[in-house]
Formats: sequence, C-alpha cells, structure tokens
Amino acid sequence: MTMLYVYALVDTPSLDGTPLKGHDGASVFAVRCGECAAATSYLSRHTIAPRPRSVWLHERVLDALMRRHAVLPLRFATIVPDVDMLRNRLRPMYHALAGDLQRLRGKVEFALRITNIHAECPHTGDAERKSDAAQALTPGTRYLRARAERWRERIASEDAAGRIERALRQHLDPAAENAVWGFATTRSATLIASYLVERNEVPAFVAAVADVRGRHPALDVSCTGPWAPYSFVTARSPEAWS
Amino acid sequence: MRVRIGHERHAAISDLLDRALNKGVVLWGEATISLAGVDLIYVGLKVLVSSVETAQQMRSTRASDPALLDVRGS
Repeated sequence: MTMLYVYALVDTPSLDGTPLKGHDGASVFAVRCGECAAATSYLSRHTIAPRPRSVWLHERVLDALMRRHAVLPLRFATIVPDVDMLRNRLRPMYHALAGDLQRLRGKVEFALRITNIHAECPHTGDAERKSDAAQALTPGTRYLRARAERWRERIASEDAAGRIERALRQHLDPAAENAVWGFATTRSATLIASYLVERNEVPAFVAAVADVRGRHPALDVSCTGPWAPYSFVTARSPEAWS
Repeated sequence: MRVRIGHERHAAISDLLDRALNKGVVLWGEATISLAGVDLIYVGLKVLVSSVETAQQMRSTRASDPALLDVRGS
C-alpha cells in the first residue's frame, strides 16, 4: 500500500526550485491546502524507523524547503494513507497553521546546550555526604540523609542554572526573536535552549554565542543550527492536546 | 549555511532528534501510540499514525540519551 510521508507545510500552493528527493528516493511534491501546501513524498511502507539516517534525510528536505519558502516542520514519521485524509486533517488547523507560517517566515532555530554549569557556580553539598560520620549512621538515617543531599544538589543545580541562564540571555536575547529555555538533570545538569532567529540576524546571533563562550570559558556551550523552527510551532490538532 | 559552534557531531544528532521526534506540527495525538499490543495504531478515521515498533524505538532512543528531553516553558 502506498502511503504519503509529510515533511512540512509551506506558505505557497506549489514547491519552487529544483525537485527534491525524499525517503526511498521518492520525489517530493506539494499537496495544496488553501494557500499553503504540504510537502510530501510517496512511501511504500506503513512506517519509518527513527534511525539517524532517516531523520537526517527528513532534515535535509526541510533545509532545502527553508531556502525557498516559509516552513512549518512536521514531526518525523508523519504518514497518511492519502491526499484526502491529509487535507481533512489539515483543514481544521488551517488558520493556526497560516498564523504560524506568517509568524515564522524568514526565521530559523538554533539549539544551545550548556553543560558543566557547576564549574561556574559550585556548590558545597559533597562535603557532608562524604563525611566519615555519615558512614556510622543507621541505614535508614543514611538513606534519608542521602535523599536530602540529592534534593539540595538539585536545588543548587537549579539555582546555578537560573543564574547562568540570566547571564547568557543578556547577550543572546537581543540577537533573537524568541527563546525557550529548559533544564535537565538526568545525568548531568544541562541547560537547553531553542532560539528563534531572523535569517539576516544569524551572523549577529552566532557572534553573540561566540561572545558568551569567551565570557564563560568554564561552561561547555554547544550551538547547532539553523534548524527549521520546530520549537516555535503552536498549531496542533485537537487530539494532540489530549 | 549550517553553523556548528564548539560541538561534536553527537550534539547535532541529539539536537536534531530532540526536535524531529518531539516537536513540530503534530497532526495526531501521541497518547494513542502508547496503547501497544497491535502492530499498527489507527486514530479517528482509520488514519495510520505510526507503528508500535516506531513508537517504541522513539521512546528507547529518547531514554538512552539524556539530551533528548522535552523542553517546555521559558
């Protein structure tokens, strides 16, 4: 059964420029929906695995589309049975999608990761945990103390992350349209940010990132992009909110 | 222009996966994908969303990489 893989929505009813190749070498073509279009290609499978090669191909199609159109990226592995079903799903979202296309036209996304944040904002919780006295405690007390220590470390990490975020935003925000910041402590404390940047402001934003790295040499700051503006899409189907 | 500042290839892959698998326009609710037990999951008017295998691979990819977390709020 032939399916349709959907890469993105674009702000014109047809695709301009050189024909693009999508998954399995299939040509990318437009499915018109009002004044917009969905960039799609035929897929002879029901599913597609999220392997790096496939996700990079998805990204390459988006990157090529972004050079020609305003683009709203669809989540990887959006597959529909046919054109009618695709239009039926897009129709109730049309105004929201058109609004997003208008708002995100000419803008790209950059990803930032800031690790090693305790090098700049150290905390002193380790001393208590490692004390010899703690080894003499009962197992229950030791457990509760360790738990309290982890809680203090979490608070200290969040405090450090907050201070670093505020310091970095002073330099980065002026070069950007919008930003979303998050904090994760799964293995190591990491600040993650997505920046929405006007295409013609990209050099200024890149310079701001380089400036931040120079001002905070103890931090490990990585920056990748430009990506399609994944993090700034607001249009969602009603089911997506459930 | 693809800008990569002070990062390894791993960072670019993580950033891409974080976005392509977790963000962007969502046409169907993901909650239904977690109802495993069948090979293919259909939502609403028999619309194919994804296979259980794909959903599970997405979850395991995210679980194995601490960088692949949802980032919400500002």
